[in-house]
Order: sequence, then C-alpha cells, then structure tokens
Amino acid sequence: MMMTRRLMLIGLSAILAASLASVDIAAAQGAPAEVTVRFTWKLKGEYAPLYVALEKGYYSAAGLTVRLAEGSGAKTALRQLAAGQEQVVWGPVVNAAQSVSAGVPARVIALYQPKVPIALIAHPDTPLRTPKDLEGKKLAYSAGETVADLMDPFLRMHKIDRTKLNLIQMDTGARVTQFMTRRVDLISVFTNNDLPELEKKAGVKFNLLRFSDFGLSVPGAGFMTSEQQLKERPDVLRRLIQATNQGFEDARRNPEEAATIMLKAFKVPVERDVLIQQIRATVEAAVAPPGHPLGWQSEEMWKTTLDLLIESGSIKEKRPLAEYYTNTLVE
Amino acid sequence: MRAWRWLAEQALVGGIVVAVFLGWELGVAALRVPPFILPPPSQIVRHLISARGLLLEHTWVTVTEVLAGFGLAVAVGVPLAVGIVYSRIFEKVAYTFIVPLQTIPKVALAPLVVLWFGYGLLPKMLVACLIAFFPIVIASVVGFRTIEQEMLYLARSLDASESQMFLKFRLPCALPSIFGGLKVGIGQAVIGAVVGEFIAAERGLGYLQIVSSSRLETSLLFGAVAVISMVGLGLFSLLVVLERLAMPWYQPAHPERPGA
Repeated sequence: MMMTRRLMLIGLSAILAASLASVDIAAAQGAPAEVTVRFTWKLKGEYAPLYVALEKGYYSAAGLTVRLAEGSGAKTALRQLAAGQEQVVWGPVVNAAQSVSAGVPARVIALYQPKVPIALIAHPDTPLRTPKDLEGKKLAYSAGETVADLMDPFLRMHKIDRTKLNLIQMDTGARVTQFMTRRVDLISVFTNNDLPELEKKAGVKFNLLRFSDFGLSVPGAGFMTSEQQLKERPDVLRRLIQATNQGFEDARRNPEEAATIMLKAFKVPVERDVLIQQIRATVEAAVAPPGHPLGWQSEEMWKTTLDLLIESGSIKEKRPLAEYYTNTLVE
Repeated sequence: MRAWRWLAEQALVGGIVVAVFLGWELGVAALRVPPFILPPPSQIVRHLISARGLLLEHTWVTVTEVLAGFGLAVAVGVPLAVGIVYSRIFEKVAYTFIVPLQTIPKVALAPLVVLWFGYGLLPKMLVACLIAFFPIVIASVVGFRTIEQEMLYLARSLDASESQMFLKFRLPCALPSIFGGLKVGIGQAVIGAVVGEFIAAERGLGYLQIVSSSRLETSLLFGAVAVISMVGLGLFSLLVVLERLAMPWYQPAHPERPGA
C-alpha cells in the first residue's frame, strides 16, 4: 500500500516536472513577443517598408507579433512612451532629441534617414535655386516642425539677412492651402511624403531647395523606445530592427510591390502612383552609413544635430550623447 | 388656405437652399476654384455616395464615442444637480470644481486625457463628457429649483415622503429644463468626440477629417463635416422624440399659438 502510494507520488512528480519542462521549452522557443509600433502620424508612404516586413512575415519569422498603429504627433507618442503606454515609436528622431534634452527617458535605437528628406518648395514661376533666392520671399511654417529648427542656422550659414525673409507662423493645414493659393511663396515639405501628393494635386513640378544640398541636415525617421523597454526587451527590439531592415531591402528592390502591400492598409484610399513615388523617395533617403548596417547612428551626426538644436533654441541643454541613442541593437 | 400658406413657406425655404447651393456650384466653376480649395456641392455629394462605406464605418465609431460620453455626462450630471439642489455645502464644493472646469478650453485638456488614457474609446468619451456635462448640470439644477413653493406645501400636506416629493413633484417639474440641457449637451458631446479624435485617433469622423485635410482631399473633408452635422441633427431629433415620450403632458409655449 505504502509502496503504491510512493510510486504514485513519483509518477505525479515526473508528470509535473515534464509539464514544467515543456512550458520552459515553449518559452525558450518563444511564444511570439508582442510589439506595437506607434507611428507619429497617419498612414503614409514612409511606413511602407514596415508593412512589407509585416505582410511578408519577416516579423513573425523573427518571433514577433507586430501591430503597426497610426499616431497623432511625435510629441504625444514620445510622452506616451515615457509614460509606459507605448513600446516603440517610429518617427522623426529630432523630436526624441528634444524630449531627451527635456528629461524624457527615451532612446533612438535605429535611424533610417541620416539626412531628413526635407526641402523648401516654390511654384514653378518663383525662382528657388540657391539660398540667396529666399530673400524677399514669404515662408509659412508651423510651430514645432523641422524647418523651424533649421531656418535660423541655415540663414546664418549662408549669410542671409533674416529680416529679408518673411517668416509667417500658421497652422499645419493652413500653410499648405496658403501655399497652393499662392498667398505665401514657400513652404517646407518632406520629399518622401508631401511633395508627390502636392505636385499631383497642383499638376505642376515645384521648384525645390533641399537643405542637405546646401550644407545643413538633421536626422530623419527612426525607431525610438523607452529606457525601460531597452532594458527589459533588447532582444525583441533587435529582432524588430532586423526584420524592418528586410522590409526596407524588399521595398528598395520593388517599390511597386511595396505599394500594393501598403495600399491594403490605407483606410482612406490613396493614388497608387503617388504612393510609389513616396516609397521610392523613402528608400532613397534610407541610407546605411559606410561600413555599417542600416539603422546605425554616428556620433558625429548626433553632435552636429544637438549643436544645431541648441543654436536654434529648440533645446536648452545637451545631455551625454549616450542618453540620446544607442547602436547596440544594430551592431 | 392654411395648406397653401404652409406650401408657400416650404417652397420659399427650399428655393433659398437650392439657390445657395446653385450659386456655390456655379461660383466655383466660373472662378475656376481648384477642388482642393473648395469643391462644388455636386462633387461633395458624389464623394458622399462613393465613400459611403468608409463614412459609415467611421460614423459608427464617432456615434459610439458621442453616446458613451453623453451617457456618462447624464449619469454624472443629473445626480450632481440633485446633490446641488439638496445640499448647500455640496453646492459650494461642486461649483468650486465645475465652474473653473467649464472655463478651461477642452482642447487644452484633450492632450492630457490622451496621454493618460491612450488612443481608444475612453479619451474621446471623457472629452465628450467634459464638454457636455456643464449644460446638463446647470439646466438640471435650474429645473429642480423651478418647482413652486405651493406645490411643495401641497406635497407635504399629502404626507408625501422625500422620495415621493422628488419623483412625483420635483422631477416632472424639472424635466422640461433637463431636456433643454440634454439638447444642448448632445451637440456639445458631438463636438467633444470629434475634438478627441483630432487629438489622437485611429478611427472616427474626426480622424477622417485630419487625414483628408492633410491629403488635400477637400471633398471628403466636406463629406465628413456633413456627416458630423447629420449625426448631431439625428441625435438631437432622437432627444426630441424622447422628450415627447417622457412628457406627453408638456406643451411648450409658442409665440404664434398663444395659449397652446
């Protein structure tokens, strides 16, 4: 009797141990880790490589269940990141630089656009070839947009008297209609998002002045996360970046296919040809620094960017560089 | 004779509306206004029809937010009004909070609500509630206080308990005013939900407005505005029906029908 009970106990222990071991194995093999990537704005062509990675199963192959979600501004997304309500944000890393400088515990973990694809545009009959052409023009901009940080250093760099350029601050939506109705001469655009759309609507090719062609640039879009996520899930974030890089490779190879994938995600339909142009411009701007993988960030670029943001008054103080970015997940 | 007069009135109103839209249609064509600046009404109607599925899907989201926010405003506002009417201390404490809250532009609060509660239904519901709440409270307080002193004497002489006095005397007397507050509140709730969607949303008519505005899809933008207006009108009409059902005895005074 005693013997039977002992045998039963041994048997039960064995079953329990086996089931616990199977749970461990399952965890090690990895039930997919859930990641929500919050964009800083509504759907646009710039996000296509991530949708390619999602559709082609690169995320799931990396053991991730990824949700791509629209956002409502970089500042909101970064605040929510700091509050622990978001895991990963995709958007302009300059906003992360501003937030980190203000004490928000966020970190840029991969940068896809070493130079933000931003430019000033003018109607075809308004000359805009060199910075000197800015003199005497009316430029509409919105508070917080990238051009607000770039303008003063750019004018100083090219020795243009600021008083000769009429800078008018207005609402984001209003500045586009003011430009289209020719009440202002210039606005800034992202060449991988707004430009193809505006040119299609207006039916003309605008004159273009890229800041990066005249010696000034700041970084563009990338992945940002919280210190907490970085500490707790570095491997998940690393896999997210690797799978996204595959999405970029595919979109670069075949923008038409990327457009077909992306079109399915749009709630409000977009024109396919405009989307293809946006995707082309997006992958052109996504350049891997020489000798490094896509997503890698240079110390030099960060130093220059922070100096520029200090100069424009966009940040008050520079914190240690390690607080702004890390390359540990892309190396 | 009366029927002719009614018909003439309707024809005049209809004629003015048609003339306005016709002037708009011809005006934008004559002045060659690009559709992304001001689309003609015919294009807006075409867009309303072709994008009906999209609009319906997002309308449902916004209506849910409006009803949830409005429901919360009623659920909090009316009992709060009862407390204000019955307790002087409660009145002072409540007004200390709700009057300053009313003066704050809710657009300024919306980003905070989004920061605390994310992108889902809850932040829109709270913004809708915050905006709709004040007229409901104030109208309810006014309503509960409109009862004539003689009615209260009568209730007491009939040995009515406090709850009977409230349910049989105060509440029926207050209903016209409460419904007045609800009718103001429902429009405010629509505004609140759309403001919430402006600040942060992945769906809804406010979301559609933001997307169409950033893409210069002006006819869709107008379509979304028209639907928001229809939602407001529909919910207001629903309240009018509810008002009639709740107060079949109530006949509002009408200047053209003295004594009605």
